[in-house]
Amino acid sequence: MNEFRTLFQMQLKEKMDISFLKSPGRMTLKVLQFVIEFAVVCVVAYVILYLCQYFNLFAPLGHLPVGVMSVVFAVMFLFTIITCTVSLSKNLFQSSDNAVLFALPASSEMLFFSKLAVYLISEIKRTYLFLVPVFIAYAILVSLPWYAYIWIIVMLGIFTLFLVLFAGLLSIPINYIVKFFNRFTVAKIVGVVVILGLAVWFIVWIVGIIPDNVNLVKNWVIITETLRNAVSWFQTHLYIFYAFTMFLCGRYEGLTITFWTTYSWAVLLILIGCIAALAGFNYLISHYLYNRVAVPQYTDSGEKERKPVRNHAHKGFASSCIYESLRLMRAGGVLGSTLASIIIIPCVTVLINTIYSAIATRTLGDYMIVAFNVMIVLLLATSSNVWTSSVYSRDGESLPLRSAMPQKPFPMLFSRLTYSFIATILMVVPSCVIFMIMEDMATLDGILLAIFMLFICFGHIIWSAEMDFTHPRIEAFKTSGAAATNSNEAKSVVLSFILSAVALGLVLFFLLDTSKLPYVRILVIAAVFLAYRIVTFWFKSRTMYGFGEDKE
Amino acid sequence: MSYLVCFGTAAVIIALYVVFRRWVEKHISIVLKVLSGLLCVVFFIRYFGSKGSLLADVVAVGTNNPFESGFVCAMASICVWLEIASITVTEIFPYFEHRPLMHNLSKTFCLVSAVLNMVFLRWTAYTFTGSYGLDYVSAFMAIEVAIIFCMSLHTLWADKSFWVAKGQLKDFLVFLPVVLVVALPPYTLQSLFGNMGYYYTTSLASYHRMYLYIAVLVFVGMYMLLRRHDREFVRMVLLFMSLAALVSFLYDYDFSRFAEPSMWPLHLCCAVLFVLPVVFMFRINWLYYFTLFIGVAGAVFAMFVPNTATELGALSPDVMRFWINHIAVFALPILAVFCGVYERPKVKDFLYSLIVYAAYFLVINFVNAWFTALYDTSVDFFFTNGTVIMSVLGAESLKNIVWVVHLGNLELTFMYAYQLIFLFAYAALCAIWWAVLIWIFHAQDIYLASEDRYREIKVEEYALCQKYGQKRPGDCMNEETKDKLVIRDFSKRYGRNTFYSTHDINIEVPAGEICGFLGANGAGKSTTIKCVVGIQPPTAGTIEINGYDIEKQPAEAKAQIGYVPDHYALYENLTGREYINYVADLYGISKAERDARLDDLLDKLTMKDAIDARISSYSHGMKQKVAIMSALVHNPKLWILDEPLTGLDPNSVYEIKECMKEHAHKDGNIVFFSTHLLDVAETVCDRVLIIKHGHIIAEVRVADLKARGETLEQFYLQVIGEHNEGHSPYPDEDSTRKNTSHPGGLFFNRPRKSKQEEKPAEAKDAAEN
Repeated sequence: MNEFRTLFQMQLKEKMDISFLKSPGRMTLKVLQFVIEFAVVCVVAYVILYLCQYFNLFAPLGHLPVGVMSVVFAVMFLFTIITCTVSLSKNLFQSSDNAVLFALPASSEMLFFSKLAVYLISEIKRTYLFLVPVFIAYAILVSLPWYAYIWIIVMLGIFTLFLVLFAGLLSIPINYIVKFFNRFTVAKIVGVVVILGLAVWFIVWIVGIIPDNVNLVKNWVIITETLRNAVSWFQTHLYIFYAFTMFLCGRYEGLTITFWTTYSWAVLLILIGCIAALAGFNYLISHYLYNRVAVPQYTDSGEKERKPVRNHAHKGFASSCIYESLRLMRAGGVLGSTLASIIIIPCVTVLINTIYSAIATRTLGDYMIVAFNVMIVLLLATSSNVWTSSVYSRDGESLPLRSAMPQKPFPMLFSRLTYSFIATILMVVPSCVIFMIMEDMATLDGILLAIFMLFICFGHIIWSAEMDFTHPRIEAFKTSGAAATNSNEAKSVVLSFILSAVALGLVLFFLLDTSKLPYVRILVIAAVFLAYRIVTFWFKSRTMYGFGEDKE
Repeated sequence: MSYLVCFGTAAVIIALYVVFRRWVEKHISIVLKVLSGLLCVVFFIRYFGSKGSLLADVVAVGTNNPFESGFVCAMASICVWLEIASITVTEIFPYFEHRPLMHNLSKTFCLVSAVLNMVFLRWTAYTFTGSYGLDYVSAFMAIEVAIIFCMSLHTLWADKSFWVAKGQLKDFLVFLPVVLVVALPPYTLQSLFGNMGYYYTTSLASYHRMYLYIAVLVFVGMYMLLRRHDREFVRMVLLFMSLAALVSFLYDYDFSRFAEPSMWPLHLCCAVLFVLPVVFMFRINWLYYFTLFIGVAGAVFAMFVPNTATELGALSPDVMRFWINHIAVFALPILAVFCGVYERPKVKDFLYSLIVYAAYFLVINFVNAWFTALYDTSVDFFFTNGTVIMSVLGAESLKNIVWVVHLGNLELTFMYAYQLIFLFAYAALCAIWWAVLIWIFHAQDIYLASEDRYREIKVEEYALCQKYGQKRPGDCMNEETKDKLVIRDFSKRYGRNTFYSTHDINIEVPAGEICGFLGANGAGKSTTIKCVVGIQPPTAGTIEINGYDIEKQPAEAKAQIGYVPDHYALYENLTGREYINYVADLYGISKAERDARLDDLLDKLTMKDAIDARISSYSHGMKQKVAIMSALVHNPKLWILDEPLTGLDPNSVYEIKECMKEHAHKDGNIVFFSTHLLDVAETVCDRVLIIKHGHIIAEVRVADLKARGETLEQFYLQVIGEHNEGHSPYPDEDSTRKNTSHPGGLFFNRPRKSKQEEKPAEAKDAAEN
């Protein structure tokens, strides 16, 4: 057990910043921050659930059935299981610290479970920052007794353990699949094309079922009826989620909720049984398979027949742009997510504009359509660029090497962003063209709007990258090739939301303003923003860039 | 007649000066303060004695022009403006008379302004009195002009020259427009240019936004102008600005208006405007933090929801007054803390400001209730006694929750529910503002640190160019160190560590030499090498490669180096060839050159078959070979290798040793490498340096050792053994150690330099200049 604790602590310190535990002041601040974040999510969830209840969206007589929460729970379950499996697959099998860990005198199952435990901590944090507040909001809305809150908090914690063990189990076949795709490039391409094709087909199908004329007021009864039927279908056909939600929140009998029935204890027993079974399976698999799968492999012996390649000469900055983009494209994950964004964002634009065009709108509505289009495209495009907040730290140990090259910091750092700039253009411009066509927008206005969005996205990329070189996270990337809690990425996500919201506000404000040339005005503001970000990037690259100081 | 009064007063003052010259010169400071006090009293009586200026009704010189011609009207407008500016300058001049800026403003701007006002006195007086006859307002105005004239004349007399000295011209030219803009009476722009039409200046309409932008620009602009000046200077400018804003605010006040309680300046921002000059003059901490937390929050709120009448022109005096007032209350307290006039607030300062706010709130509510009962008219200072905010929030029902107190015959009514909510909500707003302020302080720290660093870089660059005889930044600076690696007084300390990883290292490696760098793990070899190649900045000392300073000319210096790191972390997603081509591009190597060199290296290091595979698939040795090829592709003057032979097969070790010898003996290049392999060092190196605990403890030529029949291993073990109790990485502990010597090698232990000495003297001089 001591070995397990040592392994766990060692990895936890490496992947998460837990230094605040030693300082009461910082710990208080962390707790305060957690409470605030919890409260904010709780309030937002409460407002949404309250509105659903107020408009009798899912049930008449102003109440919210548990079935709705079971849908929320199922969606969250699906989302979490996917992210957990992908992250665990990387953490367990592709992490660069495996080489060190396997050299330690610890059994493979101990290593496996210590990694799972470290991951469990970050997953529990996520659960308590999202799933728990949503259920607490529901508990407040339907006035559950005080002990229900404790029940929800404890049970969702236990459920997270179930999730992580389940994802741990899934990660093994996923790892084999990833290896298969990595080995056979054709299969990889086919896989990507199939997935993207399915996504596009799904969006086209959704677009197809949207009626030509959506009148919310006139069709309100039909809409609510459809929603209720959907929830009811869900309850019947995906009963497992409904059952677990009832276990968490109690069950309606008439209009009152009863809590803690024999049924609840039965579900709890099943849950504990599942956890025990999953732990057992994980143990067995880790015992027999883990060390074989996870030890780093040096596969290429250089014996393959290769076509002779010629040397190419480029100018310094151009060379940086080319080779750095090449590196990023070859790095696992980045190219895939970029391609997905390039395809998904225009599809989403088609989808939302089909819905919008089916709604009869007045001038204000038209303006709102433009503004919301801008917000959604920006939100998706900037979110897909969040990774630029670790663009330099991702290099880990090879990053300082770059400092030994005779190139000034600004071109050196800026060239790394070329890939993101090009990818952003490919995401935003098609969306804008689609939007222009679907909303009959003037060509010049459309061009100005596209440039506006590009400037905001570029500003976000530059800002995120600037955070990375001013507060690098090299140490975490050096050892494991990933940072579990990267505050720069968290900040970049927040920036993404803020910039999208501000853009929405600006577009709406200037369109509603009676003065002329609204698109020119917003473009000027975006240009000023971008120019400011470039100047600060340049300034800080000259004055604050120095990865070496990371080592203390 | 007003001319007579003006010239008469001036003549009397000059005569008194001539008669009592010696006494006056001896007590000039007191005399100037007395005169400025007199000016203040005269101005105060005249300003509040008049019924406001006729210019307040003039629109673009053409409408309501009280004069026969537009030119006279425009000149009168300008003269009144200049007079207010020069009065404000003259008021504070005696308190900051040692300041060159004040001298320059007084002897040039105030003098010119006084002369112009003397010429146009008839008309400027008319704008306040409405007649050309002499009354006490026009007489006092004449006296004001005379006092300003005499005080400026004295400054001119003392300085002996009307012109601004060259070194002071920049400050003068920068701050003269500031003086003029800040002292602008609210009606001047309308009287000169019209009122810009009757557009909304509320509800975030265009003109409202324009004023908001101006507020931000004023703050940012003033911050940029003031941030590098000393605190006293900033205090002087802020005092001037606060006084000027106050004068502007009171443009239509006269004595009779003070009899009307609802017109008293007791709204929060008006009250703060009166407080600001006091705060800047007498430095009262608790009052200042009240303006910073409570006043600024109020001003920001008011600027977003202005209560100016919507039918007024955008440049009408009332709109201008509103904005001058609120921009001053918003910008000046923040500027004061940002420019260091007051310290950044602590929790207790915030609490004190809340106490002052609570006191103000109590007084205002009492005054509101009392005056409302006394004059039977609704008095609503700070909006705590009306329904303006209630109606905005849709909570008008709160007005019915009242508490009535009988005071004599008066019935004082308090809407206590609303007022309590107001009190706490406003306190919460101030708390939010404080949080924003903390964030801005953080941003300011980052900005200032970056700016300091940038200035430092520029100063060092300049100093370097000066040192080596007016060279340009890209030139080879030090011809003496050309073809050499020279490390002088080099020390390195990581981050906030208390100990030095390397300390006081001096190394010189001439052209054509292979120099080995030996030492135990953690001795400081890699740290030294990382600083030489520019990955780490040195804490002290200089490193010159082929005449280029690695810190001050990093790009040029790095172009001389080929570096093989101690780890093999290359760009794993590129192929070996791509990586080498990338490096070659950065060094600007032509295609023909790189083709030739790469072919040669690929043959030597037997990498031809694997060069086009991804680096991620390479073994450790292959990665090391790629690192070596990329370091040699540009034929560097200095080849640095950090433990290059670790993990290589015997063939590769042999090839690399041969490469090192060949590189050093070809074109007089330098090879500098660290290693733990003493036999390799012995066979390859011309000279060996031994480092321990960050100090070079020995240096020996391999040929000398051979001549003595001693092996490097024996020498190394002997040296390391003798220094077992050796140097501590903590500089204070070994600073008193004496130099020692050892047969066959030279031992170093220089006395440590003081902190001041760590900075190059020439950089310091340049910074001071």
